Amino acid sequence: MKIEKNKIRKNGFTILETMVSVSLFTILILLTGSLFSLSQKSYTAGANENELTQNARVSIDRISREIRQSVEIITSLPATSTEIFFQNGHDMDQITYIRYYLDGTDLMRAHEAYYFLADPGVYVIWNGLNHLGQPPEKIMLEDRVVGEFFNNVRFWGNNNLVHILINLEKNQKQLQIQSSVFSRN
Amino acid sequence: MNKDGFSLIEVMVAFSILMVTFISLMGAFPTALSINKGAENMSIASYLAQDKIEELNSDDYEAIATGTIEARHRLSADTDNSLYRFERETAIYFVDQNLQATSSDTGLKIASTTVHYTDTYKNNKSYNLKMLISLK
Repeated sequence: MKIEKNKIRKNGFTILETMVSVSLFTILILLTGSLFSLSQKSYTAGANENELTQNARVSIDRISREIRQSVEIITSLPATSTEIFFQNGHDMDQITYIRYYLDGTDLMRAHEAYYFLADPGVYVIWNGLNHLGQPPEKIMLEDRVVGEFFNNVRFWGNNNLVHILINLEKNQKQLQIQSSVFSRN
Repeated sequence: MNKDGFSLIEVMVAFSILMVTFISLMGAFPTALSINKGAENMSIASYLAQDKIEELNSDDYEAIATGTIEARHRLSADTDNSLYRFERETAIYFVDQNLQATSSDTGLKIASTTVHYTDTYKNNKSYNLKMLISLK
């Protein structure tokens, strides 16, 4: 009897054993799969959030620093558009201007200068006029993307204290940051 | 008997160990996300605190009154606005040379602004920024 039972067992698995092992295997696969998809989702969500925060911080810090150093803020505040235009206070050798504006969802930073055709090497103020009463030519020194995923940018306050509000969005995730900057000059 | 396979107890022990590992691993992801969210909240709060500090920066020493110059209030009245979750209060007080609070004016004031917010676990958090203002 005993010998015979062992003989049967050696030939393979019972249906019960197979079912148990398959179900255990299924549970294991499902668990691993859910863990994998959870990690993917969490990674995407985290990366998304970090990207927004990073873009917002870099942009607002850069705008703040340059407004703080600025000699004159030319845009009359509150700004009616998503743009701010002010004189660069970083390099005082030449008069140059910085313009932040939105191009779609990109935050752009343009570094511009103005000159008269008679003397292209000397940069002048943006609204200056030459002896003939003509406005100066504009030269773009640099125009590049400095931030992504922007929804809106608002500037208000006065020319001493500038309030900044930025809205960013990526994959339905939104971020809004508000700050102010005191222009010392 | 052992040679034929695993006993029920062995399988159960192995599975429970595996479960514990999985559950603890799964718990790590929401935690990571909430830490992320916490960093984001703190960023927003720090900019809001800086907002007030910069505003005070634009005023002269004399023009800044002492006391609670900004009662605790929400930064947006609109419940849909993300700034609705943030509240700010600002107080100004005189300090002496050792930066200890004093009732008399020695030419030094401290502006202390605090931003309060609730995190994803409904815990109350705050971010405080202080600025020393001196008589020029």
